[in-house]
Amino acid sequence: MSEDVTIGIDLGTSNSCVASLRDGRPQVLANAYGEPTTASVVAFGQDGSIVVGNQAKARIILDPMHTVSSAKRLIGRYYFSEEVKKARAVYSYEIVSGENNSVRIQIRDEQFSLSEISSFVLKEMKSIAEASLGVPVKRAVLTVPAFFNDNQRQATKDAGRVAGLEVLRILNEPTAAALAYGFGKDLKQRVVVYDLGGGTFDVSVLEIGQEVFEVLATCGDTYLGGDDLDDRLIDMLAEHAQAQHGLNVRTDPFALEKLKAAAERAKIELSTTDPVQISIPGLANKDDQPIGIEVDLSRSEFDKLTRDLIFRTFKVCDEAMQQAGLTVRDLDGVILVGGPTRLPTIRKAVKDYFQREPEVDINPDEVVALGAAIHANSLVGASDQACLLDVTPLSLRLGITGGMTETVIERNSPIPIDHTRIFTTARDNQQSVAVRIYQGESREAQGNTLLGEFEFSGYRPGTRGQVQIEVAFAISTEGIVKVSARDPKSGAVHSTAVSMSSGLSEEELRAIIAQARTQDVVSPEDPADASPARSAAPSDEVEEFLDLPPLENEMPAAVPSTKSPLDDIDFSGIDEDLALPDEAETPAVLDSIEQDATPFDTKTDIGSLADDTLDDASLSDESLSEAERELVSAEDPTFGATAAEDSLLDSEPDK
Amino acid sequence: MTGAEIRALARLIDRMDYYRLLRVGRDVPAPQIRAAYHRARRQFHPDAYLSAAEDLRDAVDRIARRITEAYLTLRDRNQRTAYNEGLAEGKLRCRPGSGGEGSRDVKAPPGKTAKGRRFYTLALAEERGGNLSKAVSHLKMALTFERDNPHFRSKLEELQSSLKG
Repeated sequence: MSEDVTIGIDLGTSNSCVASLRDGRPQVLANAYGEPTTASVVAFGQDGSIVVGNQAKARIILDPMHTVSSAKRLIGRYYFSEEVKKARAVYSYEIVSGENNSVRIQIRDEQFSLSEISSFVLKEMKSIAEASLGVPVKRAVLTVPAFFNDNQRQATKDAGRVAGLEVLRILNEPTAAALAYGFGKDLKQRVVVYDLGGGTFDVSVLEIGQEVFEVLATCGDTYLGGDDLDDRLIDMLAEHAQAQHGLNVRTDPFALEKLKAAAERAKIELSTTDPVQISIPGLANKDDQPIGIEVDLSRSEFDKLTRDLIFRTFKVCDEAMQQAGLTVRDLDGVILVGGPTRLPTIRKAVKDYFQREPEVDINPDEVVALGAAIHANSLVGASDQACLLDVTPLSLRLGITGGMTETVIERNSPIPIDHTRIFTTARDNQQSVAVRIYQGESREAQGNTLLGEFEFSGYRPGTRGQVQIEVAFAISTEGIVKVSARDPKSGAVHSTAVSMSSGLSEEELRAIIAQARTQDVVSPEDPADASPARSAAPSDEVEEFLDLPPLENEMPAAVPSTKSPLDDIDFSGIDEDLALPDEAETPAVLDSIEQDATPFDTKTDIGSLADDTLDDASLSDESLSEAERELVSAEDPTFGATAAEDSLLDSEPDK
Repeated sequence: MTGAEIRALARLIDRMDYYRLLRVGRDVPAPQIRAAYHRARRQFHPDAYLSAAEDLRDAVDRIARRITEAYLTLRDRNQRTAYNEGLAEGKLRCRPGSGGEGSRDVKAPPGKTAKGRRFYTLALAEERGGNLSKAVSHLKMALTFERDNPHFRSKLEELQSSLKG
């Protein structure tokens, strides 16, 4: 019975929300205090206790150094990134650098990864759901901002695993919101989801119709949210304290946290009251005298303070509309998501921009979790499944020589998608190539986020330009990237899920999960499930549950491996670049081109293959397809190769 | 579709053209391409096979990715025209390489000189990117190195006619 119970969790920057489907209706599951959302705050007590939620939030003022908020702003980021620098200036807890430029939170003498911090919040949401539903819950859909890159998605998925959840799927927040909006209605609409959360901003343009939810475009900013609006108020209040009392709150974490709490409260009160009075008695002590501040704030003053931030969201909207190829007149609805969209300032700005009243009967704090719950339920086959067609928010790029990158998959391409490119070596007898994968919109490697790198050496070395290396890129329906390199001649493959070099290593993750499992024992699942086309039970239930990427080489059965990759690769020593075939030929080609003064587009990336290699390649291909034919008939006697081909290939095309 | 059929389809996918994959006729009007894409994606959505055996999930993934590729090519008028021309020569895909087992459409550019091959390759890349006029100028460049290459000539004619069309 509890097998069918699934939940959807909206893991927010400021607040999280959990929902489940009950009697065919999605419902938010309230926490023990009856609140629909729970603060995404983790407080670490002196005695080793860990408190999550609103109680933890209350402790920020008392113990700012050991209370972690807004972890979502840091998850999946590099320590040296701008966002982390900004966060270090704003948050009182200690943000330190971990292995491989990762971010860790230092709590007394212990360090936590961001996946672990988030896992505490997820565990809390899991237990809220269990208390509310009265059954154990394991399977969940987790939502992420649509604009999250692969690192952030992976780290969020890891957090779910550490929390003892089986993450059915990572789902984009705006897509989840649209799903909740369209659920049970027979709509055919084009809608825009304006999702301004505590720390992130997304805008997605979708077409909803006949159980298909198709994202046409998504754009965003993973470092823009309600927190930033608060920061403006904090700045204003801090200046006030400085001017009135000569008090520098920036050097006093306790005073700063009091300002933060007051700023957030004032922002929320402004939604219903105008003006509001901000009163902070006992902000700090000066000469043993408690000093406080009192400030009146009107909506129009608040608007002025935050105008540029709100303007920034509409720049992003411009981009999304353009990418979708639509104008605001083409839209049938505007869905607001995220607490800050309750602000009259933002509602009005959205209405003016889209020339339409936003939908009113949607709860911006809950709609994402509701959508996640709807999808979670359908993923285990407990209800009809809506077909979600999402896109990848960022272009996928491959690092090439000279610190540059090549676009492999354009942003806003539908997913899942794959793409294969042929590359060659830069030097004669080069023993290995480094495959570096980036996400972003810059041609220069530095302007993008590095997702990961691996070294491929399973090919037969040769003269530069003669060696062929096939690099295959794939993005899953969850927006997670997988890359493999292959030597078409030898068949050697190096396949890996791209994982950020700064995230948790697989060993660390296994250790943390093993530790977590002693508290939260996982029972093997019932192999019977509701998949429409299930044919065999998975061989190792626990491994499948953990969803651990294989450490071993993934190899097509027909081709032998020459090398087992991941184990014996030392990433630090990689200095060989992967070259475009063009660049491999650079000396000869560029010289002659300069002489000829011909227009030569260095951007192109398709290599020329030598004639002799080609013959080899086409030969082996022929034999492969023969082998394939054999395989089809041998493997499945009831479904002969020719029959299969006939029925599949000659199916009547629709007129 | 049964699991066995899906697995077989995934293996045979390199032998199917985009129209077959989307199950539409080659003369299908543009608006119906999208409907066909939706129908195909509904049939082969990885979400529906979440707890299926791994090889079946891989097969569905592979099919879904190829459906995306077919849709991206056929929904764009220029790309569709270029694809149709390639298809007439027996090229079932418009992208180089194919990942996994099917590298049969990775062809050496025909040509006797390095520069000729090079510009021919550049032209094909531009054509794939939908930039036909750039492709034409690259081809003309290739022809300056190999005046009598029949591949270059026929490709140039093909491109020039699709530019006009």
